[in-house]
Amino acid sequence: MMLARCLPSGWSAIRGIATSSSAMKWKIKEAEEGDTTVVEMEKIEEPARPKNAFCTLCTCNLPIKVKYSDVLILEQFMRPDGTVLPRQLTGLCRNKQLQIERCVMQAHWSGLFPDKTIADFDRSGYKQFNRYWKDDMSMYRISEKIEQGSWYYVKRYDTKNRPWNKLMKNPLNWDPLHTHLYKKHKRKPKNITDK
Amino acid sequence: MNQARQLAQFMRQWHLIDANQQDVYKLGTKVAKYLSGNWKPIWHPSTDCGDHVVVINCQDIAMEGFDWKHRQFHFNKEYPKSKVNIPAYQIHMYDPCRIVYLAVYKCLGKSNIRRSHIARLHLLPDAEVPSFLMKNVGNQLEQVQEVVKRSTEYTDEERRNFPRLVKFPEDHVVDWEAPIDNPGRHKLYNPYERKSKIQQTPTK
Repeated sequence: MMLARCLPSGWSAIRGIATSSSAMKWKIKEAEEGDTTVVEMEKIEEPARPKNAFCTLCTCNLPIKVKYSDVLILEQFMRPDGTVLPRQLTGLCRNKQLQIERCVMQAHWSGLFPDKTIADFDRSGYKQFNRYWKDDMSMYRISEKIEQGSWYYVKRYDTKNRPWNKLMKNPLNWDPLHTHLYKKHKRKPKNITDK
Repeated sequence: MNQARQLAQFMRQWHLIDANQQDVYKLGTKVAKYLSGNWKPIWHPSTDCGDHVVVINCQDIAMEGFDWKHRQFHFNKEYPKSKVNIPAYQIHMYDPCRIVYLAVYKCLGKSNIRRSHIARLHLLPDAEVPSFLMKNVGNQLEQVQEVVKRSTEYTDEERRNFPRLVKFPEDHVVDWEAPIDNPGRHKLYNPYERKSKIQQTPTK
């Protein structure tokens, strides 16, 4: 900026400082003409190296953006305990490494790696139910949604006498400390058959 | 065949849909369309031409992100201290069919006959369908979302055929991949923190 103010008419001088897009290299070239040796500097033009030349995800031309549900891709970047390998080992660029880390975390939250988690992974409260993610940045777009509740309800079929049905007659008296009593028990998926 | 399909439009058809890992409101819009008969060419707002829909696996519905916690249902009885916001997961713990019911009721829109429409909704918490319902069902609806497979549900054959993306360098040591101990949460140094009892000097 200062330079521009000092040289109002000297834009060409500044333009000389600016870096060019393609990298330039020089090479010493010796040529013997009779009994004299001519030493010259020769210009070599090298194509600019793309930034992602070493990133394994950028270079492999994946037709998709990696998501939390691409379990077989995420597994390759993981340790057996469910953590992500560091960037020095995976050979990813910074952005892709962070993206993979986010996706792995989302997959853990959705319970897609039941054999690769720590024993005390928190699955209490709202975390015990199924959830999905639109993309890898989905967890940062948080907003509270207020819906209009309604008491109008037709309970046609029994909801299988869950243990908490007796314990909690009124959902307003919900006590989060007793979550372990109302843990979701999953029935074995059965085929739809006539009884 | 076409004529039979045409005649079936004038009857109450029975559809079945699996709610496993489906978004509640995406599922609700689809179910509401069939409950109100909106998919039929003969549909008219004052015509009651809706169908029956059986939704199974209601306990396995999904929500996006942290919506189980952040989607709150506002109940207000217009009495003192009676306003309350209940997060969706607490309602779902209490009754696994209630969230689907509320979602479908909302998606049916404001109309005078939506209560008669939602009376034809049959919600079942799991995959067991009673035979008196199952004998009516004539159509299975397509799910609105893909069902995500867990890592344990893939076979070794699929895993072997999947292309390998990670290319380790030539001097890679396998032991570097071994899990490291959890270093714990970073804790700021607090000089005023109480020392443990062993380090305290005994008073004389």
